[in-house]
Amino acid sequence: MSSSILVITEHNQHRFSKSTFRLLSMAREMSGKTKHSVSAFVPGRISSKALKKLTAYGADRIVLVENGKLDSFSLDIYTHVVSSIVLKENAGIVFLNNSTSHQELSAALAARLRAGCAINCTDVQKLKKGFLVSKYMYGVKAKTKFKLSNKILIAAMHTLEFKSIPSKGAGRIVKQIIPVPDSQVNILERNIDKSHSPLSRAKVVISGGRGIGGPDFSILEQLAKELNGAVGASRSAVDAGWRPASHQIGQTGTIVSPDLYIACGISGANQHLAGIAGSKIVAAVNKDADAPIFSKSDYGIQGDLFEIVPCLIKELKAFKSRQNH
Amino acid sequence: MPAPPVRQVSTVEMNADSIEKAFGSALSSKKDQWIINPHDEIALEEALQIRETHGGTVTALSFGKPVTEAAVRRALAMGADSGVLIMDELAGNYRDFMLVAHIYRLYLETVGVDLILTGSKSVDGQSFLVGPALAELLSIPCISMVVNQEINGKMIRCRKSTESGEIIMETPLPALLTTAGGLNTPRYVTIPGIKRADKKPIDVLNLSEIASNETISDRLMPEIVSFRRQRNKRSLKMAVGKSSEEKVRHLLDMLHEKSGIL
Repeated sequence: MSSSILVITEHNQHRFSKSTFRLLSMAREMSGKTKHSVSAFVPGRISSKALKKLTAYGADRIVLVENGKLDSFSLDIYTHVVSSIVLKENAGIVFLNNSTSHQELSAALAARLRAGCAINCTDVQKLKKGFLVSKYMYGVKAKTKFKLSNKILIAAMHTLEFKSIPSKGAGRIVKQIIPVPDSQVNILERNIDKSHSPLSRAKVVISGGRGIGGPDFSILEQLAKELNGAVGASRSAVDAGWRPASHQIGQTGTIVSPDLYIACGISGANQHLAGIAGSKIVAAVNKDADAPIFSKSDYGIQGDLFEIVPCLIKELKAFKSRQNH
Repeated sequence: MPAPPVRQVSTVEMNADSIEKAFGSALSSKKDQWIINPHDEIALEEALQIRETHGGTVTALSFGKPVTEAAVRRALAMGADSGVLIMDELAGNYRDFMLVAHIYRLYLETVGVDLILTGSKSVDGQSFLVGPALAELLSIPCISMVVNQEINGKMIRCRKSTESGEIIMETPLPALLTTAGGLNTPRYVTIPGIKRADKKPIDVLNLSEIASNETISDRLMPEIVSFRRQRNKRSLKMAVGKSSEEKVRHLLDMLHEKSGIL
C-alpha cells in the first residue's frame, strides 16, 4: 500500500474551519501529481451536516474517532490519537493548520513518530527521497527552503494563501475505535471571547497603540465592525494593561497576515513591524509624520486618530451605501 | 505544612539575530535588542518569581556554541542559580528543534526537575516547538501560552490564552509550561546582578558526554536549501486633503482603486 496524505481537520462540532477546506484542497491538488490518496481525520463528534460539506472536498477517506474526549483540543490525547491514525492510514505527509494548537501538535507528533516537522509552511514537494519544504522564518521577514529526509513529514501550513476548491469523489467515511486515555491536564474553566475573532486568521485587523491613551478601544471596535475585522493592540498598549495579552500583535505576540492592517496610534517598534510584515496592505494613522510605522506602510494618514477614525467609520458607511446603489 | 520547594529548569536560547551575527549571516544589521530570545526571558522571569514564592532553584539550560555562554551568563545575572550549557559540536548553524528537544531530554533525565519553563515563541519562528516536543519526549504534561500560574503542593493551575479566549487548567508536577508574551515584564539586569553572575557556576557539557554518537547521527537533520530575505515591498502614499474628511476619502479611494480592498 502506498503512503497517503493525511489532513487533520479543525472544527467546533458544527462547522469545519476555513483552513480545513483550504488544506484539503491543497492536499487534493498535490495528490493529483503524486498519486497519493488523501485521508481527512476528524477528531471528536461532528454534526452530519458539517460532515456532508467535508465530503465535497475530495478526501478519499474521512476517518472519524467519535469520542467526546476529543471534542476540544488537548495536546496529550490528540498526540496519542493522531499518531495512531497516522500509522493506521500509512500517512507519508500530515498536513495541519498553522494555528497555535496545531503547531504544538505538529511538534509533539514529530517527537512521538520521529518524523520531520516544519511550521509556517507555504509549500511542500515530495522528492524521490524526502521532502522540500518552503516556509517563513523570523515572522515573515525571510522565506526559506528546507530539505527533510525523514519518512514522514508533519507540516503546519500557512493556509491564508490557499484557495478552497470543491472536488469530485465523495470520500468513504471510516469510523475508527481507538481507546482514548484521559488527559493529564484537567480543564477547569473555559472562557470564550466572543467579541474577538481570531487575530491570526482575520482578513482585516485594526490595532491600537499608545496613541489610544487608555483601555477604551471602542472606536477601533466600531471601525473593525464596519470592515468585518478583528481588533489587536501593540505591546505598549498591552504592557499598560489596556488590553489582554492575547490581543498583542508583534514578534512577541500574535503574528498577523491579513489583507488589510490598519495601525492606529502605533509608532512602529521593530518587534511590532515584524509581526505585521505578512499583511497584504498596511495603512497607518499617526499624529507624528516621522513615526517609523509609515516607512513600512502602503498608505498613511497624518492626524489625530480620534478625529480620523470616527471620520473613517462615517465615510466607510457612506462608501458602502454608494457601492450598494 | 510548608509547600515543597520547586526545582525549575528554564531553557534559554540565544536570540537568533545574535547567533547569526556571530556566524556572519545576520538578517538584521541593527543593534541587538536582546541577548536571550525575548520569550525565553519571560519564561525565566516567571521561574524567578516562582522561586521567590515557593523556594527551590532555577537552572538556566541552553544548547549552543561557545557564543551562547553570553545568554546563560545573562540568565544568571537576572537571578538564575546555576547554568548548564551543552556544547553543540555539530557542523552547521541551523539547529533543528527536534534535535534540541532530544538533547535536553537526555540531560533532564539525569537530574530531578519539577517544572520546566520555555518561551512560547522564538524569533526565528520554529525553535519554540522545543517545549511541546520535549514534554512529549519526557512524557510529562505541557501547558502552553500560560498567562498566569499558581502552584499548590504538587499541582499547578494555569490560565492560558488561546486564539478564541482563555482556559483554566490544572495538572500534576512535573510539568512543562510555555509562557505567553505579556505574562510578566522581565527584570532589568543590574550591575550587582552581573557581578554575582560571575561567581555562579556554569556547567559546560560536551554533547558527547550526554549523548552517544549513534543517538545523534540517528537524527535526520533538515538541510537549508535557500534563504531569502523578504524585501520591504511597501512604498508609502500619504492621504492628502485640507480636512480629516478629505484625507479619509482620499485614503478610501486609494484602497479601493489600487488594492481592490473594500
